[in-house]
Amino acid sequence: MKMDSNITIRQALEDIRIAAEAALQVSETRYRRLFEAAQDGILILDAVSGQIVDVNPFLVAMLGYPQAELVGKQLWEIGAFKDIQASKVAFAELQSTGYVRYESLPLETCAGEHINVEFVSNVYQVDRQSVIQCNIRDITARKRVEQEVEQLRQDLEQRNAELTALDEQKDHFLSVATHDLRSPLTVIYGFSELLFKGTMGPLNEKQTQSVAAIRVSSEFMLRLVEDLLDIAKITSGKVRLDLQPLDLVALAQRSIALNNILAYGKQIEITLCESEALPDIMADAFKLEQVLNNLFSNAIKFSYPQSAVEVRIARDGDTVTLAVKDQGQGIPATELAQLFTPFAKTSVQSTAGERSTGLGLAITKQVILEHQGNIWVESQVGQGTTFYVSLPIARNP
Amino acid sequence: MNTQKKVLIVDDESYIRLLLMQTLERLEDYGVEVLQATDGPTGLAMALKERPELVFLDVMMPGLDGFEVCQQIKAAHNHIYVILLTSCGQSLDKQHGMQATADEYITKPFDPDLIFGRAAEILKLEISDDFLNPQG
Repeated sequence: MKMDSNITIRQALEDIRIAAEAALQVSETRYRRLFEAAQDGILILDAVSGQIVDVNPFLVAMLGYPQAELVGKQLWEIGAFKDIQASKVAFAELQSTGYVRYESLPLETCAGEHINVEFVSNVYQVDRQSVIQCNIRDITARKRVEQEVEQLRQDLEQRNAELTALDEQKDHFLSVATHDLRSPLTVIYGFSELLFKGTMGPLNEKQTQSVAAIRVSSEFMLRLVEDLLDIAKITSGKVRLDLQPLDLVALAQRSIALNNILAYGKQIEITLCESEALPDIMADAFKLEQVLNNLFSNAIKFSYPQSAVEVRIARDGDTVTLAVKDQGQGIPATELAQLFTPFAKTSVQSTAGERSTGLGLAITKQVILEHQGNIWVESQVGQGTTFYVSLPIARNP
Repeated sequence: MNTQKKVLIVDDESYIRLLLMQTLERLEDYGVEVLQATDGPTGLAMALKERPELVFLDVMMPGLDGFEVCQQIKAAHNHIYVILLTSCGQSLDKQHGMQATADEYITKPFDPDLIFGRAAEILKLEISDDFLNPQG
């Protein structure tokens, strides 16, 4: 009975050993496969001597040295790790800390090709022996892409600097152009004004006509210079708005009064319809004046003599909307979309030969958009046109 | 003591000076002396010496610009009325002009009538309508 049980135990132990060996075999095979098939280079070193114990095929291929030439050598004996001193230092560090890592290590392959690798080493115990496993990943391609990206970044930076310089040059050019154009125009306009008004003595009819032509032309040229500057500034985002709560009705009244002086010649009157009490809007007074002036002077320009221009201001939710309605020719529907683009030509003619720079509405739209406002138009040929401008109301402090 | 009223024009551009002179020379009928200077330093020296009631001062001048001249005139004689004339009708310049403590700001191109009208008002002259509208 005792014999039997001893045999049974021995048999069981034997079974366990066989099973363990089989399991070990499976494990060994599994890890060997991983080692053999890994798409990273793996190097196993003896932690004490620094001798290479094993090299996986991927590393053999990466470095180009036959496996036999690698195994048994010390790390720094291999051409790839040519910097003996650095390799020794790294190895010493690895021995003391059990871990080293290089983000990017330059190596030379057997064929003399320079590659970059990411190098990570760990020390661990196998059969009471310290071994070092080095994982080596070829990052040459990644490195090259990084370098290309860096090069592109530098190129972009340089390009950006060049553009900034060009932009500054353009601004300088514009400011010089304004000054240099405005000065002689001031002289032309000023003297034609003095002559036209007879300040320097009376002129005959032909002289008056001639001087009037000079005066009107210089005035138009000045407006063109101003408008060009405005549009250049707006498109380059150089407009700084000085936003403050403003009474749109009061501003409109002032602008209407000024434009009614011009409208008088065509017997046109701009009227502001009575409105409820309105909250202040948030706007830049100077810029808004420009917008209102443009809308009102346009209305006069395209209105028939002896017609009326009606202005209404009303609250519309979080905005206040101003509408300028004329009884002019109206704009064909097909031309409405391009109305706010610079130098857009429409078939609509001014009713008294007034000239346009073609920039007024483009500037107006940009100014309104900068204010987070909105501008739109409704028109019917033969009936007239209404321009709408809405601006955000000022929030109570 | 000389009590004659004086207006000083400071501009480096000769045609602008001529335009201003011809615009303002009508003031001489009212006993106003119209003076002119061709640059900042001369203008400043003249303003300090002659103490005009009113100065029309160009902003963009080489050397000493209008802002600096204005500041120095105001520091010495705050009662001298200074109108800055500039080619840059931008609000930034306007702020700068105000910081330089100018009393007023007129952008080029200006209407000669506006210049004349402002001068007559600041000098407190009684100008007849006939004078303002010779043809009317």
